[in-house]
Amino acid sequence: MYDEGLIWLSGENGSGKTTFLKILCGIIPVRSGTITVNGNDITLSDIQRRRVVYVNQNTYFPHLDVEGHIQWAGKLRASRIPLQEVMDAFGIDYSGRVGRLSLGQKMRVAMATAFFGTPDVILLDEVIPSVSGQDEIFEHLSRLSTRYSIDVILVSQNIPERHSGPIYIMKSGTMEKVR
Amino acid sequence: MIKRDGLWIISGVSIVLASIPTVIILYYGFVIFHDSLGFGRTVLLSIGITLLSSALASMIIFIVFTPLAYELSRGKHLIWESISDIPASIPHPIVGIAFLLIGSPLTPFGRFLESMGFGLFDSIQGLVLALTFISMPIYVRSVQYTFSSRNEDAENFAFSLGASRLRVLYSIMVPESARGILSSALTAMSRAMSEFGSIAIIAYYILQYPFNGGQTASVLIYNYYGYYGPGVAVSASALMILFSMAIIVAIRIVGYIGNSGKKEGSS
Repeated sequence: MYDEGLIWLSGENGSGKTTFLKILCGIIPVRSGTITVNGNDITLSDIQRRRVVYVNQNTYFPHLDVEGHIQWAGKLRASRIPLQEVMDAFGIDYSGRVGRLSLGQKMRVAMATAFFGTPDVILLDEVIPSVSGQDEIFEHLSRLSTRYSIDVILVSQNIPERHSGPIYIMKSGTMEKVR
Repeated sequence: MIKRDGLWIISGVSIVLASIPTVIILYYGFVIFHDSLGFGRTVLLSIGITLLSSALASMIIFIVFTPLAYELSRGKHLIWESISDIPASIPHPIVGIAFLLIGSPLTPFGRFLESMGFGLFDSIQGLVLALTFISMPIYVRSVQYTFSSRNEDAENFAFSLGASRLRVLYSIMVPESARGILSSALTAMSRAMSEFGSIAIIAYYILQYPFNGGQTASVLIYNYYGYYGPGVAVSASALMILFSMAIIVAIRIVGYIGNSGKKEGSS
Protein backbone atom coordinates (compact mmCIF):
# COMPACT_ATOMS: atom_id res chain seq x y z
CA MET A 1 0.00 0.00 0.00
CA TYR A 2 1.37 3.42 -0.95
CA ASP A 3 -0.69 6.27 0.49
CA GLU A 4 -3.76 5.47 -1.59
CA GLY A 5 -6.29 7.19 0.68
CA LEU A 6 -9.71 5.65 0.68
CA ILE A 7 -9.84 2.24 -1.00
CA TRP A 8 -12.98 0.26 -1.64
CA LEU A 9 -12.82 -3.52 -1.55
CA SER A 10 -15.79 -5.54 -2.67
CA GLY A 11 -16.54 -9.11 -3.62
CA GLU A 12 -18.97 -11.94 -3.10
CA ASN A 13 -19.42 -13.77 0.19
CA GLY A 14 -16.57 -16.20 0.79
CA SER A 15 -14.28 -14.55 -1.75
CA GLY A 16 -11.60 -13.92 0.93
CA LYS A 17 -12.07 -10.23 1.81
CA THR A 18 -12.01 -10.70 5.58
CA THR A 19 -9.15 -13.21 5.37
CA PHE A 20 -7.18 -10.69 3.31
CA LEU A 21 -7.78 -7.94 5.88
CA LYS A 22 -6.83 -10.24 8.76
CA ILE A 23 -3.60 -11.17 7.00
CA LEU A 24 -2.92 -7.47 6.39
CA CYS A 25 -3.22 -6.53 10.07
CA GLY A 26 -1.47 -9.64 11.41
CA ILE A 27 -4.32 -11.66 12.90
CA ILE A 28 -3.66 -14.42 10.35
CA PRO A 29 0.05 -15.12 9.66
CA VAL A 30 1.42 -14.77 6.13
CA ARG A 31 2.40 -18.04 4.44
CA SER A 32 4.08 -16.50 1.42
CA GLY A 33 4.68 -13.08 -0.09
CA THR A 34 5.29 -9.76 1.62
CA ILE A 35 3.18 -6.91 3.00
CA THR A 36 4.57 -3.43 2.48
CA VAL A 37 2.99 -0.27 3.87
CA ASN A 38 4.51 3.04 2.73
CA GLY A 39 7.74 1.27 1.86
CA ASN A 40 8.04 -0.57 5.19
CA ASP A 41 8.00 -4.36 5.09
CA ILE A 42 5.62 -5.42 7.89
CA THR A 43 5.27 -9.06 6.84
CA LEU A 44 6.88 -10.42 10.01
CA SER A 45 5.89 -7.60 12.37
CA ASP A 46 3.70 -8.30 15.40
CA ILE A 47 0.10 -7.15 15.15
CA GLN A 48 0.93 -4.48 17.80
CA ARG A 49 3.72 -2.96 15.69
CA ARG A 50 2.08 -2.97 12.26
CA ARG A 51 0.06 0.21 12.75
CA VAL A 52 -2.77 -1.47 10.82
CA VAL A 53 -6.05 -1.37 12.76
CA TYR A 54 -8.82 -3.85 12.01
CA VAL A 55 -12.43 -2.85 12.72
CA ASN A 56 -15.51 -5.01 12.32
CA GLN A 57 -18.93 -5.18 13.98
CA ASN A 58 -17.52 -6.81 17.15
CA THR A 59 -14.57 -4.51 17.73
CA TYR A 60 -15.63 -2.43 20.72
CA PHE A 61 -15.17 -2.58 24.48
CA PRO A 62 -18.63 -2.65 26.11
CA HIS A 63 -17.44 -1.75 29.63
CA LEU A 64 -15.86 1.59 28.66
CA ASP A 65 -17.72 4.87 28.29
CA VAL A 66 -17.69 6.55 24.88
CA GLU A 67 -14.96 9.11 25.54
CA GLY A 68 -12.84 6.64 27.55
CA HIS A 69 -13.13 4.18 24.64
CA ILE A 70 -11.76 6.66 22.11
CA GLN A 71 -9.06 7.94 24.45
CA TRP A 72 -7.97 4.36 25.19
CA ALA A 73 -6.27 4.31 21.77
CA GLY A 74 -4.45 7.53 22.67
CA LYS A 75 -2.93 5.87 25.74
CA LEU A 76 -1.22 3.34 23.48
CA ARG A 77 0.07 5.73 20.80
CA ALA A 78 0.23 9.51 20.97
CA SER A 79 -2.62 10.74 18.78
CA ARG A 80 -2.10 13.24 15.99
CA ILE A 81 -5.83 13.94 15.81
CA PRO A 82 -7.61 16.12 18.40
CA LEU A 83 -10.25 14.17 20.33
CA GLN A 84 -12.97 16.69 19.50
CA GLU A 85 -12.23 16.54 15.77
CA VAL A 86 -12.58 12.78 15.66
CA MET A 87 -15.78 12.87 17.76
CA ASP A 88 -17.26 15.57 15.51
CA ALA A 89 -16.27 13.68 12.36
CA PHE A 90 -18.22 10.61 13.43
CA GLY A 91 -21.13 12.55 14.92
CA ILE A 92 -20.48 11.31 18.44
CA ASP A 93 -22.54 13.61 20.61
CA TYR A 94 -23.66 10.90 23.01
CA SER A 95 -22.12 9.37 26.14
CA GLY A 96 -22.58 6.34 28.38
CA ARG A 97 -21.26 2.80 28.29
CA VAL A 98 -20.50 1.56 24.79
CA GLY A 99 -22.20 -1.79 25.48
CA ARG A 100 -25.54 -0.02 25.84
CA LEU A 101 -25.38 1.81 22.48
CA SER A 102 -26.98 0.72 19.20
CA LEU A 103 -24.76 -1.11 16.70
CA GLY A 104 -24.47 1.99 14.50
CA GLN A 105 -23.40 4.11 17.47
CA LYS A 106 -20.91 1.44 18.55
CA MET A 107 -19.40 1.41 15.06
CA ARG A 108 -19.01 5.19 15.08
CA VAL A 109 -17.14 4.89 18.40
CA ALA A 110 -14.99 2.03 17.03
CA MET A 111 -14.06 4.04 13.92
CA ALA A 112 -13.33 7.13 16.02
CA THR A 113 -11.11 5.00 18.28
CA ALA A 114 -9.26 3.59 15.29
CA PHE A 115 -8.62 7.09 13.89
CA PHE A 116 -7.63 8.50 17.29
CA GLY A 117 -4.89 5.85 17.41
CA THR A 118 -3.57 7.39 14.13
CA PRO A 119 -2.27 4.19 12.54
CA ASP A 120 -0.97 3.96 8.97
CA VAL A 121 -3.92 1.88 7.75
CA ILE A 122 -7.47 1.31 8.99
CA LEU A 123 -9.44 -1.69 7.76
CA LEU A 124 -13.22 -1.32 8.01
CA ASP A 125 -14.78 -4.74 7.49
CA GLU A 126 -18.51 -4.34 6.74
CA VAL A 127 -18.67 -1.49 9.24
CA ILE A 128 -20.19 1.22 7.05
CA PRO A 129 -23.46 -0.64 6.22
CA SER A 130 -24.43 -0.66 9.92
CA VAL A 131 -24.05 3.12 10.26
CA SER A 132 -26.79 5.57 9.31
CA GLY A 133 -25.91 8.72 7.32
CA GLN A 134 -23.37 6.82 5.24
CA ASP A 135 -22.70 9.65 2.76
CA GLU A 136 -21.69 11.98 5.58
CA ILE A 137 -19.51 9.32 7.23
CA PHE A 138 -17.94 8.58 3.86
CA GLU A 139 -17.01 12.27 3.43
CA HIS A 140 -15.48 12.47 6.90
CA LEU A 141 -13.54 9.25 6.35
CA SER A 142 -12.17 10.68 3.12
CA ARG A 143 -11.24 14.00 4.78
CA LEU A 144 -9.54 12.42 7.81
CA SER A 145 -7.75 9.93 5.59
CA THR A 146 -6.28 12.67 3.40
CA ARG A 147 -5.51 15.11 6.21
CA TYR A 148 -3.69 12.63 8.44
CA SER A 149 -2.29 10.32 5.73
CA ILE A 150 -4.17 7.27 6.94
CA ASP A 151 -5.09 4.73 4.27
CA VAL A 152 -8.55 3.27 4.77
CA ILE A 153 -9.78 0.06 3.19
CA LEU A 154 -13.55 -0.23 3.27
CA VAL A 155 -15.09 -3.61 2.70
CA SER A 156 -18.67 -3.62 1.54
CA GLN A 157 -20.86 -5.21 -1.09
CA ASN A 158 -22.12 -1.85 -2.31
CA ILE A 159 -19.77 0.75 -3.72
CA PRO A 160 -21.18 4.28 -3.71
CA GLU A 161 -21.25 5.96 -7.14
CA ARG A 162 -19.57 9.11 -5.84
CA HIS A 163 -16.47 7.22 -4.66
CA SER A 164 -13.62 8.35 -6.89
CA GLY A 165 -10.73 6.41 -5.28
CA PRO A 166 -9.36 2.97 -6.05
CA ILE A 167 -11.75 0.03 -6.20
CA TYR A 168 -10.71 -3.60 -5.87
CA ILE A 169 -12.82 -6.68 -6.39
CA MET A 170 -11.97 -9.94 -4.66
CA LYS A 171 -12.74 -13.15 -6.53
CA SER A 172 -11.85 -16.53 -5.01
CA GLY A 173 -8.93 -15.11 -3.09
CA THR A 174 -7.59 -13.04 -6.01
CA MET A 175 -7.77 -9.27 -5.98
CA GLU A 176 -8.41 -7.28 -9.13
CA LYS A 177 -8.14 -3.50 -9.40
CA VAL A 178 -11.11 -2.26 -11.39
CA ARG A 179 -10.38 1.45 -10.98
CA MET B 1 -39.13 -23.76 29.86
CA ILE B 2 -38.87 -26.96 31.92
CA LYS B 3 -40.15 -30.12 30.22
CA ARG B 4 -41.40 -32.72 32.67
CA ASP B 5 -40.43 -35.78 30.63
CA GLY B 6 -38.32 -38.90 31.28
CA LEU B 7 -35.07 -36.93 31.31
CA TRP B 8 -36.52 -34.58 33.92
CA ILE B 9 -37.49 -37.51 36.14
CA ILE B 10 -34.05 -39.17 35.92
CA SER B 11 -32.36 -35.80 36.59
CA GLY B 12 -34.65 -35.21 39.56
CA VAL B 13 -33.77 -38.63 41.01
CA SER B 14 -30.05 -37.81 40.54
CA ILE B 15 -30.49 -34.54 42.43
CA VAL B 16 -32.29 -36.32 45.27
CA LEU B 17 -29.46 -38.91 45.47
CA ALA B 18 -26.81 -36.16 45.42
CA SER B 19 -28.51 -34.21 48.20
CA ILE B 20 -29.08 -37.14 50.61
CA PRO B 21 -25.84 -36.71 52.66
CA THR B 22 -26.39 -32.96 53.01
CA VAL B 23 -30.04 -33.32 53.98
CA ILE B 24 -29.21 -36.08 56.50
CA ILE B 25 -26.50 -33.94 58.14
CA LEU B 26 -28.76 -30.87 58.29
CA TYR B 27 -31.67 -32.87 59.71
CA TYR B 28 -29.65 -34.78 62.30
CA GLY B 29 -27.47 -31.78 63.14
CA PHE B 30 -30.24 -29.26 63.75
CA VAL B 31 -33.17 -31.49 64.74
CA ILE B 32 -32.03 -34.79 66.26
CA PHE B 33 -28.62 -34.19 67.93
CA HIS B 34 -28.70 -30.41 68.22
CA ASP B 35 -25.58 -30.53 70.45
CA SER B 36 -24.66 -27.12 71.87
CA LEU B 37 -20.91 -27.93 71.68
CA GLY B 38 -21.39 -28.33 67.93
CA PHE B 39 -22.63 -24.72 67.67
CA GLY B 40 -20.14 -23.32 70.21
CA ARG B 41 -17.52 -20.59 70.02
CA THR B 42 -14.76 -23.01 68.94
CA VAL B 43 -16.82 -24.17 65.98
CA LEU B 44 -17.62 -20.59 64.99
CA LEU B 45 -13.91 -19.71 65.22
CA SER B 46 -13.03 -22.70 63.04
CA ILE B 47 -15.64 -21.65 60.46
CA GLY B 48 -14.16 -18.14 60.61
CA ILE B 49 -10.66 -19.53 59.97
CA THR B 50 -12.02 -21.63 57.11
CA LEU B 51 -13.80 -18.67 55.49
CA LEU B 52 -10.85 -16.29 55.98
CA SER B 53 -8.19 -18.67 54.68
CA SER B 54 -10.36 -19.75 51.72
CA ALA B 55 -11.12 -16.12 50.81
CA LEU B 56 -7.41 -15.21 51.03
CA ALA B 57 -6.53 -18.23 48.87
CA SER B 58 -9.13 -17.13 46.28
CA MET B 59 -7.68 -13.63 46.16
CA ILE B 60 -4.15 -14.97 45.70
CA ILE B 61 -5.40 -17.31 42.99
CA PHE B 62 -7.06 -14.37 41.19
CA ILE B 63 -3.90 -12.27 41.33
CA VAL B 64 -1.40 -15.00 40.46
CA PHE B 65 -3.27 -17.33 38.11
CA THR B 66 -5.53 -15.10 35.98
CA PRO B 67 -2.71 -14.42 33.47
CA LEU B 68 -2.13 -18.19 33.19
CA ALA B 69 -5.83 -18.76 32.49
CA TYR B 70 -5.68 -16.14 29.72
CA GLU B 71 -2.53 -17.65 28.22
CA LEU B 72 -4.07 -21.14 28.23
CA SER B 73 -7.28 -19.81 26.63
CA ARG B 74 -5.40 -18.38 23.65
CA GLY B 75 -3.06 -21.14 22.60
CA LYS B 76 -2.23 -24.81 22.69
CA HIS B 77 -0.28 -25.45 25.89
CA LEU B 78 -0.75 -29.15 26.52
CA ILE B 79 2.16 -29.40 28.97
CA TRP B 80 1.22 -26.23 30.85
CA GLU B 81 -2.39 -27.38 31.08
CA SER B 82 -1.30 -30.77 32.40
CA ILE B 83 0.94 -29.15 35.03
CA SER B 84 -1.84 -26.82 36.15
CA ASP B 85 -4.14 -29.84 36.55
CA ILE B 86 -1.71 -31.77 38.80
CA PRO B 87 -3.02 -30.39 42.13
CA ALA B 88 -6.48 -31.70 41.25
CA SER B 89 -5.24 -35.19 40.47
CA ILE B 90 -2.95 -36.04 43.39
CA PRO B 91 -4.02 -37.10 46.90
CA HIS B 92 -4.09 -33.89 48.92
CA PRO B 93 -2.01 -35.15 51.86
CA ILE B 94 0.84 -35.16 49.33
CA VAL B 95 0.29 -31.41 48.87
CA GLY B 96 0.52 -30.97 52.64
CA ILE B 97 3.74 -32.99 52.77
CA ALA B 98 5.17 -30.98 49.86
CA PHE B 99 4.55 -27.69 51.66
CA LEU B 100 5.85 -29.19 54.89
CA LEU B 101 9.07 -29.99 53.02
CA ILE B 102 9.23 -26.60 51.28
CA GLY B 103 8.85 -24.81 54.62
CA SER B 104 11.21 -27.10 56.56
CA PRO B 105 14.86 -26.39 57.44
CA LEU B 106 15.74 -29.20 55.00
CA THR B 107 15.42 -26.78 52.08
CA PRO B 108 17.20 -23.41 51.61
CA PHE B 109 13.82 -21.73 51.04
CA GLY B 110 12.47 -23.27 54.25
CA ARG B 111 15.51 -22.05 56.19
CA PHE B 112 14.98 -18.57 54.73
CA LEU B 113 11.29 -18.60 55.73
CA GLU B 114 12.15 -19.81 59.24
CA SER B 115 14.77 -17.07 59.62
CA MET B 116 12.15 -14.49 58.62
CA GLY B 117 9.72 -15.96 61.17
CA PHE B 118 7.46 -16.97 58.31
CA GLY B 119 7.46 -20.75 58.67
CA LEU B 120 4.64 -22.66 57.01
CA PHE B 121 3.97 -25.37 59.61
CA ASP B 122 0.88 -24.78 61.76
CA SER B 123 0.52 -21.26 60.43
CA ILE B 124 -2.11 -19.27 58.55
CA GLN B 125 0.37 -18.72 55.67
CA GLY B 126 0.93 -22.47 55.35
CA LEU B 127 -2.82 -23.04 55.38
CA VAL B 128 -3.49 -20.35 52.74
CA LEU B 129 -0.68 -21.61 50.50
CA ALA B 130 -2.00 -25.18 50.62
CA LEU B 131 -5.54 -24.00 49.85
CA THR B 132 -4.24 -21.82 47.01
CA PHE B 133 -2.46 -24.77 45.47
CA ILE B 134 -5.32 -27.24 45.67
CA SER B 135 -8.02 -24.78 44.53
CA MET B 136 -6.03 -23.26 41.68
CA PRO B 137 -6.93 -25.83 38.95
CA ILE B 138 -10.67 -25.21 39.37
CA TYR B 139 -10.18 -21.44 38.98
CA VAL B 140 -7.77 -21.70 36.06
CA ARG B 141 -9.99 -24.09 34.09
CA SER B 142 -13.13 -22.07 34.77
CA VAL B 143 -11.58 -18.69 33.85
CA GLN B 144 -9.86 -20.28 30.85
CA TYR B 145 -13.30 -21.35 29.60
CA THR B 146 -14.72 -17.87 30.31
CA PHE B 147 -11.93 -16.24 28.27
CA SER B 148 -12.02 -18.73 25.40
CA SER B 149 -15.80 -18.32 25.02
CA ARG B 150 -15.29 -14.62 24.23
CA ASN B 151 -15.11 -13.41 20.64
CA GLU B 152 -11.50 -12.50 19.81
CA ASP B 153 -12.35 -9.57 17.51
CA ALA B 154 -12.30 -6.96 20.29
CA GLU B 155 -8.96 -8.30 21.54
CA ASN B 156 -7.49 -8.15 18.03
CA PHE B 157 -8.79 -4.60 17.70
CA ALA B 158 -6.92 -3.71 20.91
CA PHE B 159 -3.76 -5.48 19.71
CA SER B 160 -3.90 -3.70 16.37
CA LEU B 161 -4.14 -0.38 18.24
CA GLY B 162 -0.81 -1.34 19.85
CA ALA B 163 -1.88 -2.86 23.19
CA SER B 164 0.28 -5.58 24.76
CA ARG B 165 -1.32 -8.86 25.84
CA LEU B 166 -0.98 -7.95 29.52
CA ARG B 167 -2.68 -4.61 28.89
CA VAL B 168 -5.49 -6.34 27.01
CA LEU B 169 -5.86 -8.84 29.86
CA TYR B 170 -6.18 -6.25 32.61
CA SER B 171 -7.97 -3.44 30.78
CA ILE B 172 -10.26 -5.47 28.49
CA MET B 173 -10.56 -9.15 29.39
CA VAL B 174 -10.75 -8.90 33.19
CA PRO B 175 -13.32 -6.05 33.32
CA GLU B 176 -15.46 -7.64 30.61
CA SER B 177 -15.30 -11.08 32.24
CA ALA B 178 -15.63 -9.77 35.81
CA ARG B 179 -18.72 -11.82 36.67
CA GLY B 180 -17.26 -15.03 35.25
CA ILE B 181 -14.02 -14.42 37.14
CA LEU B 182 -15.87 -13.67 40.38
CA SER B 183 -17.97 -16.79 39.96
CA SER B 184 -14.81 -18.85 39.34
CA ALA B 185 -13.10 -17.33 42.39
CA LEU B 186 -16.11 -18.20 44.54
CA THR B 187 -16.05 -21.75 43.18
CA ALA B 188 -12.35 -21.97 44.09
CA MET B 189 -13.17 -20.58 47.54
CA SER B 190 -15.91 -23.16 47.92
CA ARG B 191 -13.41 -25.90 47.03
CA ALA B 192 -10.90 -24.53 49.53
CA MET B 193 -13.53 -24.54 52.29
CA SER B 194 -14.00 -28.27 51.84
CA GLU B 195 -10.28 -29.12 52.00
CA PHE B 196 -9.01 -31.54 54.65
CA GLY B 197 -6.13 -33.73 53.44
CA SER B 198 -3.41 -31.12 52.95
CA ILE B 199 -4.50 -29.06 55.98
CA ALA B 200 -4.24 -32.07 58.29
CA ILE B 201 -0.52 -32.22 57.43
CA ILE B 202 0.58 -28.60 57.10
CA ALA B 203 -1.78 -26.65 59.36
CA TYR B 204 -3.54 -28.95 61.81
CA TYR B 205 -3.54 -26.07 64.30
CA ILE B 206 -3.10 -22.38 63.57
CA LEU B 207 -0.84 -21.31 66.38
CA GLN B 208 -0.53 -17.59 65.60
CA TYR B 209 -2.46 -14.76 67.21
CA PRO B 210 -5.45 -14.25 67.00
CA PHE B 211 -6.23 -17.87 66.13
CA ASN B 212 -4.33 -19.26 69.15
CA GLY B 213 -4.46 -22.93 68.26
CA GLY B 214 -7.70 -22.75 66.29
CA GLN B 215 -8.42 -25.25 63.53
CA THR B 216 -10.23 -25.19 60.22
CA ALA B 217 -13.78 -26.55 60.27
CA SER B 218 -12.84 -29.74 58.42
CA VAL B 219 -10.07 -30.60 60.91
CA LEU B 220 -12.17 -29.60 63.95
CA ILE B 221 -15.11 -31.72 62.80
CA TYR B 222 -12.74 -34.65 62.28
CA ASN B 223 -11.39 -34.11 65.82
CA TYR B 224 -14.86 -33.82 67.32
CA TYR B 225 -15.88 -37.06 65.66
CA GLY B 226 -12.90 -38.78 67.31
CA TYR B 227 -13.37 -37.17 70.75
CA TYR B 228 -17.13 -36.93 71.18
CA GLY B 229 -18.64 -39.24 68.60
CA PRO B 230 -21.07 -38.32 65.84
CA GLY B 231 -23.47 -36.06 67.80
CA VAL B 232 -21.20 -33.01 68.17
CA ALA B 233 -19.51 -33.61 64.81
CA VAL B 234 -22.85 -33.75 62.99
CA SER B 235 -24.10 -30.56 64.68
CA ALA B 236 -20.88 -28.71 63.76
CA SER B 237 -21.10 -30.14 60.22
CA ALA B 238 -24.67 -28.87 59.84
CA LEU B 239 -23.54 -25.37 60.79
CA MET B 240 -20.62 -25.54 58.35
CA ILE B 241 -22.94 -26.74 55.57
CA LEU B 242 -25.07 -23.61 56.05
CA PHE B 243 -22.03 -21.40 55.43
CA SER B 244 -21.00 -23.49 52.43
CA MET B 245 -24.51 -23.24 51.01
CA ALA B 246 -24.37 -19.45 51.37
CA ILE B 247 -21.23 -19.43 49.20
CA ILE B 248 -22.86 -21.75 46.64
CA VAL B 249 -25.95 -19.52 46.48
CA ALA B 250 -23.64 -16.50 45.95
CA ILE B 251 -21.94 -18.36 43.06
CA ARG B 252 -25.31 -19.12 41.46
CA ILE B 253 -26.53 -15.54 41.85
CA VAL B 254 -23.32 -14.14 40.33
CA GLY B 255 -23.53 -16.69 37.50
CA TYR B 256 -27.20 -15.92 36.88
CA ILE B 257 -26.60 -12.17 36.78
CA GLY B 258 -23.66 -12.78 34.44
CA ASN B 259 -25.73 -14.88 32.06
CA SER B 260 -28.67 -12.48 32.03
CA GLY B 261 -26.21 -9.63 31.41
CA LYS B 262 -24.78 -11.51 28.43
CA LYS B 263 -28.27 -12.12 27.02
CA GLU B 264 -29.10 -8.44 27.47
CA GLY B 265 -25.86 -7.42 25.75
CA SER B 266 -26.41 -9.75 22.81
CA SER B 267 -29.97 -8.60 22.12
